[in-house]
Amino acid sequence: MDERVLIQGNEAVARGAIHAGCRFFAGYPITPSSEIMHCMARTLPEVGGVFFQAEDEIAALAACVGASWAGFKSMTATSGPGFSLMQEEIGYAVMTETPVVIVDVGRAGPSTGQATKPAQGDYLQARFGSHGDYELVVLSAWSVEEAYRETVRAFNIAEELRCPVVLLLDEAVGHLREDAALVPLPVTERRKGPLGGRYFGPTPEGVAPMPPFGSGARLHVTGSTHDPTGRRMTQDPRVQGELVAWLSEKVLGRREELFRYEAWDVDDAELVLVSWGISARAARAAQLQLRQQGYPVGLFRPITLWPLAPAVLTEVLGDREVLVVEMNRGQLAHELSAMLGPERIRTLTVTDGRVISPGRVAEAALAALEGRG
Amino acid sequence: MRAKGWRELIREDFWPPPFCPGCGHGILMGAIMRAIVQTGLDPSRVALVAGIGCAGWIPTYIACDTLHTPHGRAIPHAAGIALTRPDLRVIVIGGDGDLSSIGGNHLIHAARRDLPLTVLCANNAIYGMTGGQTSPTTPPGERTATAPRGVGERPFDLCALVAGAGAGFVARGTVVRPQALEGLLGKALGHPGFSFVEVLTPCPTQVGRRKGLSPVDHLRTLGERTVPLARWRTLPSEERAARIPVGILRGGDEEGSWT
Amino acid sequence: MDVREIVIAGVGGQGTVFAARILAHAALIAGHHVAQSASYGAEARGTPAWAGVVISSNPIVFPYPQHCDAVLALAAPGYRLWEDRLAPGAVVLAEEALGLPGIGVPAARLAQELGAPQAANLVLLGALLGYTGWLARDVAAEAVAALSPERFRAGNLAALEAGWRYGRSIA
Repeated sequence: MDERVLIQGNEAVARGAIHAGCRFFAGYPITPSSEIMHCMARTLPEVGGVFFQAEDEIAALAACVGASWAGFKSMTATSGPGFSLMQEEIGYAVMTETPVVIVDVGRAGPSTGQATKPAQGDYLQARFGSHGDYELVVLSAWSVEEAYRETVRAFNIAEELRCPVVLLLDEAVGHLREDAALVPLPVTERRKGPLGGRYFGPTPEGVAPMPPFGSGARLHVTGSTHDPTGRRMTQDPRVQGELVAWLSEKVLGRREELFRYEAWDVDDAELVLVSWGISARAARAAQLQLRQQGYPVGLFRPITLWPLAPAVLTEVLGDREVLVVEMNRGQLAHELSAMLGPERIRTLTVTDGRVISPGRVAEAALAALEGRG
Repeated sequence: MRAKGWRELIREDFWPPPFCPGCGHGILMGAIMRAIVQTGLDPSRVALVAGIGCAGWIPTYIACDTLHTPHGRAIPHAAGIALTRPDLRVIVIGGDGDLSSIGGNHLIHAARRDLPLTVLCANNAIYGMTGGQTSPTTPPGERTATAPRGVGERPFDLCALVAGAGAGFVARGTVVRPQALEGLLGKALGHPGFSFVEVLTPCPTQVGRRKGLSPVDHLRTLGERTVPLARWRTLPSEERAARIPVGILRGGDEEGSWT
Repeated sequence: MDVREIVIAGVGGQGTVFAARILAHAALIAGHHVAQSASYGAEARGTPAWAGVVISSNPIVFPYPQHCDAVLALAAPGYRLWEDRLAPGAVVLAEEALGLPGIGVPAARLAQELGAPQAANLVLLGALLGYTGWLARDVAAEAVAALSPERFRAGNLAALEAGWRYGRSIA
């Protein structure tokens, strides 16, 4: 067995970030994510990194984007209210193809809501929160160990695709302490060259290299519409059309390799629970119990929350009935309805600031099985 | 490697800049280029960061590494660069709306933190690009698109604002006196911590046209209203109120009040 | 071991989370899988507070206590949150002065006598382990030593030991 440590989810995120080569963190205090910031404040100076407590969350993510162009892998962490403020800068990171990792430790909203209670209500915001047409990558974690692993993966994807990657946690996983093996994982390094004058998509070679400031490239990086050299092109419909298509397609074109998931007992299931993050642990407990009792129930757990891969969903879920279990009013269910058709999607949604209990999932699953007959 | 002349700093691919006839931003752009040359900075080691607004276009045409950020956000982006890369000289360029309204909180905190940034505020006392709306520095009584009966609020004295927030170097210049401006920029670039230069500049399109001032008269008026700090101190108090002191206001040889 | 679900309940400021962290750390040292959770409130002191520990020899699926095998009660407000979620045969060890159902333990008095008034939480924890034998005394002591700040270490160890002896005496 790997050496296991007892560690909190938020601390595991910080450990993952450091392992992935994160050397700049900027943040603003907010419950329930602050432990990530505390851990980065302690650790970064020991590894040659820089920590910055910003004046607000807008500045925090802006500083991360600046540091990323300075050649530093960067991360910020926040919760709903701060995540709302960051949406402007997420769009900028998308448009400028800047690798950056944003951790949103979800709490019960809207607005200030219940700062210390878990929720999964930021899913659609993570996908759609900034203005304009774009795609980014959204990951999740259901355990402390997975928080570590998915943080590393978030950095790797951010570098590969040159885009912001959001890791959606929730207060429950963020504050949970459990035993975890924080094993070394492969790390993707920044592709800094060659200095060929084309530093933005679309380029025939795919994602362009990103030389850091100070390397002689004399870059121009702009949130305005631009061509692959960085030149502002704010009147040209072709450049606008191609750029917007590129920013989305570079993500969607990799959807199948980006889509990580786990599935249990789906093949012979008549009902498949679909759940993510902490909710999926209740769903798994319920599914195990129902199987022991002889009910044909499976579980599908997306780890990558966006992009989803419709081909994979169709292949794994077939035409089975689906019960989506989440701590919001049906946000992943909304996407699955669009992809699989609304007829077969049922939901168990909880928005009272508590983690869904396995008992409630089991009840809802039994009701779904009966309703189906 | 240091630049031999300011022409090396022109980003020819992107040229020419889009400024209106009579706009001061071209003069400021030239002064920045010459100040970079004269202070011996390697243009490849200079990062220029801007927000949105006409002044935010200035870095686009300068051949350094340039980051053109969302409105108001130049300073926190610049912070990310300056904190991680002390080998780079980081210059922020923005207008009065960009830096002191939507970005005002970032401005005072950068000054408070003494971040190693040079912040240049091209203050034309108006939102130019968006159509002549009131900015935090529009003088009381001026008519703007959003104050058709005249501005009723007090404006910021930007130099006093950042000095109050702790800036170690504060200067004010105008595009009417480009050589003096260049000297101020050079001194600001030589300051190790946070430095701020307010650059008074006309907006012929949104202010001059509204007031019936020709671009030349607009510049002349600006020139007449501004006096070097040392001379401003010798003026009788009623005349002081009508004039704007320029020069190094903090961090130079002539420390003292300018308000 | 089979799954054990333990809740330490009280009010904010009584060290419910600290005791739970000690228990979780001890379980880890003993080679078990463990999950430790807590109620978090923005107000640190005086409000109902609890911390949960789930211990198992297998990976833990649902990390929160659902039917407690044991509740350690330091104050009534936290205990009330859990009194209807006890597993059959659950062990309830409560600060004696509270007059709650279950086994009374003079935790505050014992901690006071040791000159470690902050450590009533660890007296109760020691009592649980002495009473049930779920984890060995030495791994618990190792966890206390590892997690206690220097100036509280000796007092905390003594409190754990006193609690353990008390637990043994009533087992």
